[in-house]
Parts: sequence; C-alpha cells; structure tokens
Amino acid sequence: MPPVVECCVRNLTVSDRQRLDVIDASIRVAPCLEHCGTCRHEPFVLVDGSLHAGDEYEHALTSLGGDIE
Amino acid sequence: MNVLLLSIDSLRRDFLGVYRDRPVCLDYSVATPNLDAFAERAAVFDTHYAGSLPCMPTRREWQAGVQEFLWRPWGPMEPFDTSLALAAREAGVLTYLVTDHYHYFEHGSHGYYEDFNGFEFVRGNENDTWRTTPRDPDSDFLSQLVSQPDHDPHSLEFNERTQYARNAAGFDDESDFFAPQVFGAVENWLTDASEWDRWFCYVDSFDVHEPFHCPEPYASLYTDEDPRDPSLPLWPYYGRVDEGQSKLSDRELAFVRSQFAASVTMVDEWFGRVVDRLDETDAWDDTMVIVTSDHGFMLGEHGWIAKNQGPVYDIIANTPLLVWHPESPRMGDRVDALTSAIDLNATILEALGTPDASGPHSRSLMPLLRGETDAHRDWALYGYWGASVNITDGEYVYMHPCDPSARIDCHSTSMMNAYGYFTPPEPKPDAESGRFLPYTDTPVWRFSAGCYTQNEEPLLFDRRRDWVQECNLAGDDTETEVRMRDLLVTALDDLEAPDGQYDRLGLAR
Repeated sequence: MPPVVECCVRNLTVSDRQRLDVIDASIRVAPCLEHCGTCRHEPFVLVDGSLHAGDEYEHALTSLGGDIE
Repeated sequence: MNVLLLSIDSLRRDFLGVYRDRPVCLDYSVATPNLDAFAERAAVFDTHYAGSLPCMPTRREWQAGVQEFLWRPWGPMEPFDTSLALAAREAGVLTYLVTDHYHYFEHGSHGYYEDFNGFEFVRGNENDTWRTTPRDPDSDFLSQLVSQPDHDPHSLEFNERTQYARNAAGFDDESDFFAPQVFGAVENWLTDASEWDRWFCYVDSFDVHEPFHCPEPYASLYTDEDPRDPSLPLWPYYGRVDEGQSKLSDRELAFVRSQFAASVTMVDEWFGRVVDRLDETDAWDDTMVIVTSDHGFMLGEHGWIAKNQGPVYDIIANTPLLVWHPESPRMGDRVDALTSAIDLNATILEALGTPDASGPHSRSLMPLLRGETDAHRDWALYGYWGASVNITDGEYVYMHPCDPSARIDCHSTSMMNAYGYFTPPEPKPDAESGRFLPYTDTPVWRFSAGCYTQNEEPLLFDRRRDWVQECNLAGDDTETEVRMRDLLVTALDDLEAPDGQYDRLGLAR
C-alpha cells in the first residue's frame, strides 16, 4: 500500500508540488496540520503520520521518488 | 428590542432533537432538552447554511455582512467593515460580548471584540495562550490530547496542544469547564442588563469545539469506556479517519463521538440556565434570541474527521438556526426558506433599529419572521478561501472543485497570513495595492497563495432525500448539474467575484 504523504499548503512550493505529483503515494494537501512551529520556518511532510522536516524533508521526497532531476 | 445572539461552535444540527431523533453517526440519542424546548417556542430554520468558513470567516459574516471567502481567508475585521457592535452602540444600544473564543485575541483576527461596550473573556479553551505551568502537565491527560509521535511537550511554538493540558490542569468541578463559565457569565449579565433600556449581547461559546473534554456526569453519558483512559483521544486531528496523522481505530472514533455528544449535552444544560434567567427577568417580551453555530464537525462520515480538508458536506454546512422574536407570527413554525449565515448581520441590525448599517452581502430575515414572505434566497454560497466553491438552491447541493495547482489572490488592508493565521504575520514583498474590491472604495493589498483540493470532481446531492449525501448525482452533465453549475456562475457574477476565482474553478463568466 503506498504511503500517505500529508503536507501543508502554506509552505508547499510550486516545484515541490510538482515533485509530489510524480511519487507513488496518497498525497493530502491540507490548510493546516498543526505543525505550525515547523511550518512557519521550513517545509515539511508527514509520511504515514511521521514528521520529516529540514534535511529529512528532502530525503523523504527523494526516497519516495520525488527527484525530478 | 434587545438581541441575544448565541453561537455554539461546531454544533451539528443532527445532534439536536429538534432536527433529528438521533445523529446520523450514532445508534443512540443525545439529550438536548433545553435547546429542544427553546426550539418549540422559536422559529426553526430547516435550510440554513454556513457561508465563509471556518470559524473567523463566519464571524466576519455575522459581524460585518461580508461574504469574504471569495476574496480572502480567515483574518481580521477590515477598516471598511461596520461591526454589529459598532452599529448598535452608535444607535444607542448597549453591547456586550461573552466568549471563550480565544481566536479573537490571537494573531490573525483582531477587530472583533473592540467595539463592544464590555466583554467577558473566559480564558483557556483549546490553544489559548493562558497558563505556562505546569511545565510538565499530567502525562495521561496529555496523551488524550496529543498523538503526534514527535511531539515536544516543552515546545514554545505557536498552536501547541500542550497549552490545553496546562490550561485545564486541575479542572475538577463542572464549574471549572468552559461552557459552564461562559453561560454562567451570561446568566449573571442578564440580571444586570435590566438596568439598560436596549442591549445587544453576543455569546460566542467555543464549546462544543474540540477538545471534547467534559466533566462527569457528561463524560460517561454515552460511553462505557473510562473517559480518562490515556489511550482514548479527546482531540482528533483533522483529516481521514483511515490514514495518516488523523487515523483513528473504531474504538477511538466511537469514543470521540461519545465525547462530542457529551459536550453537546453539557452545553445544553448550561444553555437551559440562560433560558431560566430569561424567564426570571421577564425578558422574552422585548428580547430576540438567536441560537446558531458556525459549522458542524465530521465524525467519521465519508471517512473524514473534523472539517477543512474534505468536501463541505451538509453535516458541516447545513447549520442549526433557532430564532425567538416576540412580535413574530412564525414562532413555533418550521421555516423552509433558504437562508445563509451572512443574513444574521442584517437581521440583527434591523431588529436593533439600524438596518442601514448592514453589510454588502447580507439580507434580513425579518420579512420571513414577520410572515410577509415564505421565500428568501435563490442561492446560498459557501466554502473555504482557496478550495472548492459550493452552492445550494435549498433543494440541491453542488460542490465545484478548484484547480489545486492554481494560485488565488488574498485581498486585505493588512498583510495577513493567507495560511497559518495563528502565527505572526509575514511581510508580503510582492504585494500590490489597489481598489480591487467591488464593495468598497478602500484600497487593499493583493497577494497570492496556493489552493488545495476538497473534492477532485464535482459533487451533486439532493439534500432533501439524501442529507448525509451518499448518492452523488454529478458526472453526467444532467440537467440539474448544468443548472446548479450555471447557478454558481450567477452567484459569482452577482457578488462580482474576482476574475481569478473563475480561472481556478474553470468557469466562464
């Protein structure tokens, strides 16, 4: 079963949205996920409920196949 | 005429006996004897709809009569708005606010309480930044509030659930809880209010909004579980019940439902005390009483918990409205006419004798209440800024999706946050300014933000036959679907919606 990736529309860039579009996951873009402390400083995703921010954010997107290079 | 406006946040209409024998998600009834008794003497509106969502956008509709969600999201009152309180006091009416709705006092929503002659703010509900101790709240209690695996209970960031564990630490007696404090303050104020000739009292109860934290006897009314079992959530995360952060087991969901029901019954009990005080002060002959809510709350229906992310089903949008007016011939009637939350603005101002102060999009319900007409609106528009736009004609509901990759413009005199309302506003270096709004000559900032999906495809429901909205009639461009889509365009045209709305919705003027 593909992972569930939740992200906040507040800090989701256009390019990251494109990266999410190609990964094999259920993508949920929400207006708020109650990670406001992280959200106001940097992008993040929740993968099956677990927070990935900073370096982990990039790693999470890449490992899910979201590398569009 | 005095006016008492009572908002009970997140109150689902199907939890009230006057609207349904038992809620659609439960196999038991929920006790609301006092609200039901009030409904028997009032006009019961059956086709009342939210407008701009969620909490603060609804309050700007009530306060200023502006259907804001086409132009901006959750934010402050604007300088060109006339609040109910300002219009009333300038008409010689004493104004008073009783609330525990802490959003009025945090980033993103100023201007809502300042115009009242007086206000009582009950501190501590949800994430109200009130108490800073105990630094380490009771771990069992905290585990009922928080389930994020990476949660730091010592975080000093905004919008932190540990705040509630501190605020409610030591709550013991029923009178410590929020609805008892709010409605208790109203009881007291109503006695004092008799010293004034005319008044407008706005009661904004944050309960039954989550966290669904209730004292006994309410907490055990609808469950055999131990309500203080640390493994059972009082505060679900928003989203899908079957996946991600918001996932709930069947047991957890049943418990959440039971505690929501308990909150409803607790609010009902304390609402009854306000009714008693209205009896004791002989207030019914010169007081209009309005009971309503801003929106509902999904409790697992269609796989969703809470609100905001999924389609705006009628569980959220078709809100309760009960109105007592001593001079109305409609008391005791059911009112079938389509009405909208925004109409309360003009209704209240007309009742207070200052109808010209009503906002640009509001239409008074007084002709309905006077029995002059049985019709009110051809359409009611509702939704969240940046997401789907929804419309009903009272018979059908049509939910039109947006292009989630599109951008949407936010219009405001302040550089409000388009998302993350509760956090400090961020500068918008790319904002432009101009007279962009059709209902004011005042220039505003305009800046863009992203959109998000609530429903990927159009949804169409026959609301009278299918209130739970399980049978989607959209998809084949039927006559009804085309008619409702055309009605949506008509509504957008009537409101002079921004061009960008048509673009992101894929609609032509």
